[in-house]
Amino acid sequence: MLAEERRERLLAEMRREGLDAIVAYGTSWQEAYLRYVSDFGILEGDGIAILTSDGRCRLFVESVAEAERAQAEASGIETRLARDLSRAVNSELESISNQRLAAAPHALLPAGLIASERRFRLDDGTALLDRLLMEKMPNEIAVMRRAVALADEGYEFFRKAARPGRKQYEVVADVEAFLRQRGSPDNFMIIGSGNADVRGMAPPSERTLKPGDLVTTELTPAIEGYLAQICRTLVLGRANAAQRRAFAIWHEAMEAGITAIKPGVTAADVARAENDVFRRHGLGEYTTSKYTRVRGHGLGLSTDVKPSLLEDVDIVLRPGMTIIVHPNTYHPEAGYMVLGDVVAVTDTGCERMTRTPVELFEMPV
Amino acid sequence: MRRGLISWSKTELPEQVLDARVARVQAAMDLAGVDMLAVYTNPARESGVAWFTGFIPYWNQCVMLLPRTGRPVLVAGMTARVRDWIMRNAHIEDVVNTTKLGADAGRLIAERRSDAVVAIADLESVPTSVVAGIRPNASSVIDGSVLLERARTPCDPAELMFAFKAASIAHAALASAKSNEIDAARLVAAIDGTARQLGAEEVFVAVAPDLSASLRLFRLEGTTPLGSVFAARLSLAYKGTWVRMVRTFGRSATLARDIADTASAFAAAVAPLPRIDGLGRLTAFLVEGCRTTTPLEPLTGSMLDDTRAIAPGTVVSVQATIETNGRAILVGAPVLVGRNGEASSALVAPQFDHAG
Repeated sequence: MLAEERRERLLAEMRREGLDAIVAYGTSWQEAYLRYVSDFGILEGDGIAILTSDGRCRLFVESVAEAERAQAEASGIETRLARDLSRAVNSELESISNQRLAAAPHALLPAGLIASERRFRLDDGTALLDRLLMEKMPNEIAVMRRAVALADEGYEFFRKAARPGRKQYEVVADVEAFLRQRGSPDNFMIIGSGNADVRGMAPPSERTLKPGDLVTTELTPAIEGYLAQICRTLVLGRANAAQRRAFAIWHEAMEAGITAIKPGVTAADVARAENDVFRRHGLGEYTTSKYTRVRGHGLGLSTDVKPSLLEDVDIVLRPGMTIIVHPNTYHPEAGYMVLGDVVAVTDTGCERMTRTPVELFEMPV
Repeated sequence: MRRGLISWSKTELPEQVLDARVARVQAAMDLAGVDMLAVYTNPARESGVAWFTGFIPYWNQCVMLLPRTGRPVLVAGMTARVRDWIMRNAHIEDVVNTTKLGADAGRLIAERRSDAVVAIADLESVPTSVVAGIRPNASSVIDGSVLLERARTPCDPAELMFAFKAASIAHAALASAKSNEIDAARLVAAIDGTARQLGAEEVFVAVAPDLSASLRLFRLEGTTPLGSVFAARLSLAYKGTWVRMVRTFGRSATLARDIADTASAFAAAVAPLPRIDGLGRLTAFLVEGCRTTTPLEPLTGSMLDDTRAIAPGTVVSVQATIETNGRAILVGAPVLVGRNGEASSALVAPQFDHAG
């Protein structure tokens, strides 16, 4: 089972680093560390798992609903309902305070757990878990492949659902229902529609889709906790010349980024390859944080695992990483435009996992 | 992470309502000698900042800073590209986009006053990096939970309206599912899709696929066959207000009648709330509600060791297991807790099948 395989790998890393226990915190927007350790996908409140070197894993959650879910959904762990999470975890950690402990992500641990009077010390174990989250095992890649295939299917469904007259949130509701019917319990999705007035994607609003709109989406379904993303842009009707010109640049940038991916290069190298395309076309301004967050990012047990593709991120790419390359940003004539494919870093380069055609889709209206 | 409708409607939540909430809290801050109230938010702890400003983070984290006078400022862990979206969807003075949430919150506090007494709601639960950024910039840091909880009690009419809307969406979504459904994935798709079509901000569906084998509700993946009696629990948010509702489904007419009968037993059990003697007679029960920043915090229940107060005039979500003709039936609905001797009652009755 994949959860056990992950836990064994983590235990081996703990032995290598001389750690007696790892403490993993999770909440719904930072779920990956907790999921890696406990196999529980948290939705409500906070959760903390303690994995000790003997392989015993204890999960503490604040919510009764989550405790009940964890007992049914996560294998090989002991679940405890702890309405006062800090106190319960403190008590557990004090019983092993003479051992070497590390926590991830350290910065998000509840303040009540890190109060100065505690008798235990928690080193920062974030880098250790980040490495495992980034560099996936073959069986993790296999699940990612299934998730990417579902993202392809999801986008095909989205293209049919995004019709003039429909509100953004109605389209997203249809996609969510489609993904649930396909057995996927989770998805992350944002959307944009309009033209040069649209500066980015956001959660769906009441805005009604209209002929001529550029419709952008980032769709990210989950399988067994692994999230795969696709970014595409469609036009409701025929694309105009400005939209076509802009898309050609996005396509060139994405291909430049994917071409740059191989073991040994840095995340910065990939971001630079994408951004250089924009700079060559006089659009360098639109590669800054005023217009875009990242030029792609890792995927796996979260929608946003490391590395972020940015020109100041020096993480070296290694085989087993799964990354979406998406030069998403604003274009002054066309508006916000997105395009992104998932790749897996291999021993010699990368494997493109996304199968959806790379095109600016024109939907008949 | 959120992907349902997120949009501040000034018709449903007028600026004057939010201004009145801020003024109420600022009056309490004045009395308590608190210069700044800091309220943390992320998608799992959205209820505090949403109550003050209407803002709901679809991902990431933010800290709202409320001075003793003036409007709140949001320190957001999102890049500047979403600044306009935040300003459209939040009633705030300004937003500061940063990757250093705690440090920038601390800097803003110090810029306003060098010796500020800062209250942080749910202090123990806020990330250590946020508190570490604020602490050196304050003369003292105290827990602001009680201050916030008192200001939120009882619910104001706008909050009640959101709870009624959330309850009606939950009821319609559960009603859209069929008792003769045989596949759990299709059941979940019907409930989830309907709730989002009706404007839910977020939707979690848990299923007990065969109540004759287990009463445990959990999130399913892939396809799972449904037994002759099964249950679904829908947890959903509408504009930052969360409710839970539970429906048991039975294929036969006898089962349907038994299930329908539980609605009246549920109504009788919740009527005495905030007293729990009615619920205490059932096989199991759980009462959850929002006191400060966490949406559905467990308050009391048959599986809990201690009890947190249930405040009159607030909305709580109640789940119960009711034995009928030797069979366990799961039922649940949001309940408005009566004040001054009024009976408590479900916002929408958990009635989906008709008796007889």
